[in-house]
Amino acid sequence: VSALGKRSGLAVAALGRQRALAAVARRRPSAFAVFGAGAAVIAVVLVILLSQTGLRRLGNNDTPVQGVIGTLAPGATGCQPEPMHKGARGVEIYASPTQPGRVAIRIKITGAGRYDGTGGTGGLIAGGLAAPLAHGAPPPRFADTGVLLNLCVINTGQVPLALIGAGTGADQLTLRQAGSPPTTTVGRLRIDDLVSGRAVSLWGILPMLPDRFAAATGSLLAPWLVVGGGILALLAMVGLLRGGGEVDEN
Amino acid sequence: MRTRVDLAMVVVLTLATGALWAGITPAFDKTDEPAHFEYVQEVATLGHPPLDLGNNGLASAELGCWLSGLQTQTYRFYPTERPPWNVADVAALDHTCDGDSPKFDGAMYQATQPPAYYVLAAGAYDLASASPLPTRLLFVRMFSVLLAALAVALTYLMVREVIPGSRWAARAAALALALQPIFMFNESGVNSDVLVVTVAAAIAFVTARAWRRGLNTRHALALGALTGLGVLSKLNFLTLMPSIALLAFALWWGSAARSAWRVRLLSAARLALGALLAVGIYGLYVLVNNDVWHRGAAGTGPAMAEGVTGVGSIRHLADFIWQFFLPRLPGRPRLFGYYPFWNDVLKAITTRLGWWNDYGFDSWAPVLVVLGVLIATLAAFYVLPRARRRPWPALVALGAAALFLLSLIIADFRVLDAFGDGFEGRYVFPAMPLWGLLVGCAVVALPPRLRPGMTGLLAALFLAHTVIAISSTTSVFYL
Repeated sequence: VSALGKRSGLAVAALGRQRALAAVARRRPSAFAVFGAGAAVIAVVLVILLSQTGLRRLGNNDTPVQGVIGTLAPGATGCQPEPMHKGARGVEIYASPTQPGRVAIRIKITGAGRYDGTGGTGGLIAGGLAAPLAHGAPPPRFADTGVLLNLCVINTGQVPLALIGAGTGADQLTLRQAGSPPTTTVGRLRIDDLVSGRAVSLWGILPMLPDRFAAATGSLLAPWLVVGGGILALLAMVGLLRGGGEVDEN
Repeated sequence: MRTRVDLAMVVVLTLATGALWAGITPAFDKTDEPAHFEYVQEVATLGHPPLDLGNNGLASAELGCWLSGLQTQTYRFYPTERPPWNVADVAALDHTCDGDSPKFDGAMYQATQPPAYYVLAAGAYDLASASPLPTRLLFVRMFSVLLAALAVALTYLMVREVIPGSRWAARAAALALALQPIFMFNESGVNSDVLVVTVAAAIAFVTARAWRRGLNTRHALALGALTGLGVLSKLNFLTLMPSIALLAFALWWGSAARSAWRVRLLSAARLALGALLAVGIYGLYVLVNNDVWHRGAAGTGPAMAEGVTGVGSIRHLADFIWQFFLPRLPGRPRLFGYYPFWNDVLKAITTRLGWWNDYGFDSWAPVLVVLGVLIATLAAFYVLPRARRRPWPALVALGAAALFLLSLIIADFRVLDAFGDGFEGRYVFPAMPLWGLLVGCAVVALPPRLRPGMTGLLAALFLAHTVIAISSTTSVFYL
């Protein structure tokens, strides 16, 4: 009886030790749990970054930013033929005020039927000046078709604007001011088409990225590599970190 | 079994991150990619390496059409510009360039390089020969990624040999490489550096295996064959030769320390056989290069060979090496206006994306570099005390790395004097397996119960680094 009691006592002690070890094992952080916590932090930061607002581009008019092509005086209008991107609801023009004072522009489109009109007032942003278009995005018969619209920039502010672009040899910017004959600048004004005339988050841009990857690499394979690669990489990391422990096999 | 599953995961992880980097970088925007791709195209279409070794800046009609159509020069040099965003424009460009000849003799400033990488990569080019040129470029990029996956898998195996008791160490090592964005950016481009890195990883693995299991003839021949292949990969591989010699000597010394004279002689004979194989491979290349392709004996071209001879004094070289790492000594001439080891090595391999940091990613430098140095220091704290007990593996690995860095600096000194070209951080990437080993050491320095958690933490940190780099790339090219 006493031997039996001693044996059962040992068994209880062993069980206690096992439970204690199991408790320790439960407490120690697993690779996957720590990685998961880190990945969650990264995901939160990404969501915050994607929610940051700013002016979002759809494309530009293929005019490189090379130098000043002319000056737009207060009250003057500069017009040039312009291809428009699908979905463009605002534009950013590359220009900077030449002296302190109130800066403002408006954008007008002519020769496009119901799409004609003058948009609301825009003004200085980090890279230049931005303003909304009058009637939303250009209709399908104009956007991404190569058809050129007549886009005019009106300086509604108090200071002259130095216009930035490049000498292109064709389709130059024409300047008009009341009381003076029109003059043609040495080149074209650089204009970026925007998703909106005001700041928006990056979420709306995400669906456009696959096409941009394909165009920039010149291959439709690229977006598959990016998206598939990203997903597979995460799965492989999970597989690696959920693997077994330290038993030596080799 | 678990090791095989781990290896499969490591290969998939590297292929996946490499694919991501290959797909997200605009065409021809990897370092020196147009020239390297031109070499691949010549091997694939003409069947031989460039016979015209001059750097005339020309390319095949097809490649030239795509390079100008995609405006690669514009967005590389001007941060206000972007690559094409409209798929229809690229389809039109494909129509324009269709029918242009892909055949051309020359590879700009890469024409003098040996051909091993390009011969292998030509297979990937041929596989996509019916596709437009940018898709062929992506196939060759993916071939590079395949080599990168091999390098990371070999690093995993090498750490398993050096630290056999810990799988977490090997996993952390593999994660450190596969999620190092600057490394993977380079490894997913068309560039013969990729083969140099893979060969270096293979040499590290074979050496670790030979050290642990005893040097045999197969190990020695493998080392010889790999060295021969390395020399045929890129001229930069020559800077690894002193380190390989040190590793071979350590292998011999290791066998000599615990064996009879007969065994010592046998080890020496095996290593000599390996060296003979390496020399034989190189000799064969010189013969073919000279007599079949008429590219000159060493394949480096007469201009380069003349350019790097007889430059600088030993004293000047000593100053150069000193000031590469440390502040200038009083009375000595100032050779740099900055700290090269910090700027050209640590900062470059942690933060410098693009050809010469054209992404502006450098602004993240302080945080990332400090994190990297912290991890390396932690690892060193573990390696050095252990080295006192079992000096060889750690000291030999560190010695080989130091010799490699020294050789790179000396090569930089000579090239700098001859051509005015500078040290680039990516040149140290053949030492990446050692970085993996250091990370593995940092993990295994902890008590076993904390190793999984530390590996998970490192994985999250490495992933964050990659996410920052991918975000930076997206912002530079796609927003």
